[in-house]
Amino acid sequence: MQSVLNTVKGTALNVAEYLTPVLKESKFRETGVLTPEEFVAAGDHLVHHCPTWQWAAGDETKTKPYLPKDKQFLITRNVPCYRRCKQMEYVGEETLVEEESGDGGWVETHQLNDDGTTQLEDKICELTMEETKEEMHTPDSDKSAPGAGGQAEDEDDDEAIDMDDFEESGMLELVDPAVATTTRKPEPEAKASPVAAASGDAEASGDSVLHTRTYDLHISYDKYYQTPRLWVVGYDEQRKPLTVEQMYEDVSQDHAKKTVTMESHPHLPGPNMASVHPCRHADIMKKIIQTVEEGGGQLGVHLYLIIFLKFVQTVIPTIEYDFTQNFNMS
Amino acid sequence: MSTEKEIILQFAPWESFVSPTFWHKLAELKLDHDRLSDSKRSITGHYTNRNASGCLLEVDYTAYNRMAKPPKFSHSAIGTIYNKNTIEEFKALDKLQLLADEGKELLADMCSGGALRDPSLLTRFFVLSFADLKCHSYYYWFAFPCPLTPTLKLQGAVQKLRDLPNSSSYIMALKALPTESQNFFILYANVEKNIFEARSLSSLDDKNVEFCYFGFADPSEYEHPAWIMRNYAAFLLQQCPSFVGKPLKFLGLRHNQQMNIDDSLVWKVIQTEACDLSQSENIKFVGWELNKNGKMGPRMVCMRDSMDPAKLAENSV
Repeated sequence: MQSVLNTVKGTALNVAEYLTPVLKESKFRETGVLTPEEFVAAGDHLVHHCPTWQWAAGDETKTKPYLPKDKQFLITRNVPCYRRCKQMEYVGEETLVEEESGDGGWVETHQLNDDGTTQLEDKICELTMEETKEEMHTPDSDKSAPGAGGQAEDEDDDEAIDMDDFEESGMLELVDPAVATTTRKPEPEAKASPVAAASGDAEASGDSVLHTRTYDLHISYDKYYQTPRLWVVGYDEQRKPLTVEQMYEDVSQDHAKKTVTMESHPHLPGPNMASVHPCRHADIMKKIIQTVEEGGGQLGVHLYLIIFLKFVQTVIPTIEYDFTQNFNMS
Repeated sequence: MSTEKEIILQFAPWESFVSPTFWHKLAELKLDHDRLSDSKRSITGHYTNRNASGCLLEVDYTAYNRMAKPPKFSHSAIGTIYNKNTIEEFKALDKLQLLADEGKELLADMCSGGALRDPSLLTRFFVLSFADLKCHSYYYWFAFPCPLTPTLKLQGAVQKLRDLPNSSSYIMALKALPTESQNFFILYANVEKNIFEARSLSSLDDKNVEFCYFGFADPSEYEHPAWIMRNYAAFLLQQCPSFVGKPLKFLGLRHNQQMNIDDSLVWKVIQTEACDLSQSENIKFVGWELNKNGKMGPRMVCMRDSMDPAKLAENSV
């Protein structure tokens, strides 16, 4: 129901966005919103300090006139996501950790599986299930390298089209001795999955490889809310796009379908994409600015996106995109 | 010359990787713009030599942009899409003829020197496609045309950049090369005069070949160089016929995740037979991509989950 409401609201807002004039004067300090120029400045700062981020031009037919042509939105690709949010939440008991200094302890809400508790069993169980599924659907999955990602979606049983009909005979008559046969070696540790290789992380070589999804994150400028807006699109180990339901597994359960909604991306063709709804962004930003100013500090508008990325992390806690620097609250 | 130990250099074929947004944009263009016209359309693809997996050539929605800029750490490839109106046309089309036609355009760029000014013309590809917009099925077949030239013989073992003498000077010179020119370049290394310089491909001449490493951004993860080196070598030998019979050094520039280039590979090859590519009538071409069963055939992707309005409605409640 909530998502239907969101869709209706989204359409209405598209009209409203069209009518909303472009913000001209900086109101960052008073209300936490951004002008397009400030968005570009903050984006430049982010790209400069975090080279994983880059500007993108998007679809040329969707170029927004209030942003520079080649700086329409920000993108970072192939961000690893090793664990499902569900696994993180509701696993294990909360343990109260007493601190010896007596300043009051802290609560450890979830245990990492270093100590080999229930979570490990969960993982093993899920792992075997996934394998059997794989065998049923794609018998040739052993060679399905990322290159095969394109046709990986044809597992729909009712749509079995015999592709053998299309094969051409006589085209291989030409003997070409210079073609290498490149079957990807099933090296478990090094490059079993492109994701494991992409992460360059020791963790990826462990048993969590099968769970590793990757995400592309986009930050666009929302003209109506006058704030940045985060978009996420996920892929599984074979670089096959995730379904909506699968993507919600990586969203904190408090936020799925409420804060995170499916809407059409302003710069991309195609289906709706998951995005963190921007209606609260300006408020949160304003609070952060106030906290900083009460501490006697000053928050430059160029830091906006770095702070923004920190607070949207609560929505997508398992997507490990944040390699940005720290900023001082006081 | 040692004849017994000579091995034919083999190339890792391209693997196409199509982002779903590529089909979404194609559907949009077909419905709103092309309609019944099935004229060809220029597209661009990109490939990366950073932390490469397989030997991927990727296309997404930006392929249709007029001013396409490749993503960070990636390089452009020039392509064409032939989107047919019916499945029968798709099937009946003379694939070898199409490959030959595209191949001749590649040869024209090689012979005219157009590839010298814009080396990305060497990474030419094309897609033959049919979009079944009712069933949301997309049939497609990628090809990466390449003239069938005399084979290159590998001399000695493949070496890693880090194992070469003076490798640190090479790496320094390579790091100074701007990213845009890293797709094809020349590493000039004269140890006696202590000159180490990465130059753009347009500085190509047929002198001092013994000091040159012909460099290219190599998207292959295998010990074989990527398919693009095939066109590159053919191009170099066409531009400088005196290279025939001389040992040539090729440097496949490969970055790892941390942008370290120690693992880049060097192949020392020789082509003994001459071949004049300007006589394009006599040249045969290869390059159709095999399907996932390793056969000569197209691929199909069903996009129902993200395109069928019924499915979308189902998912959005």
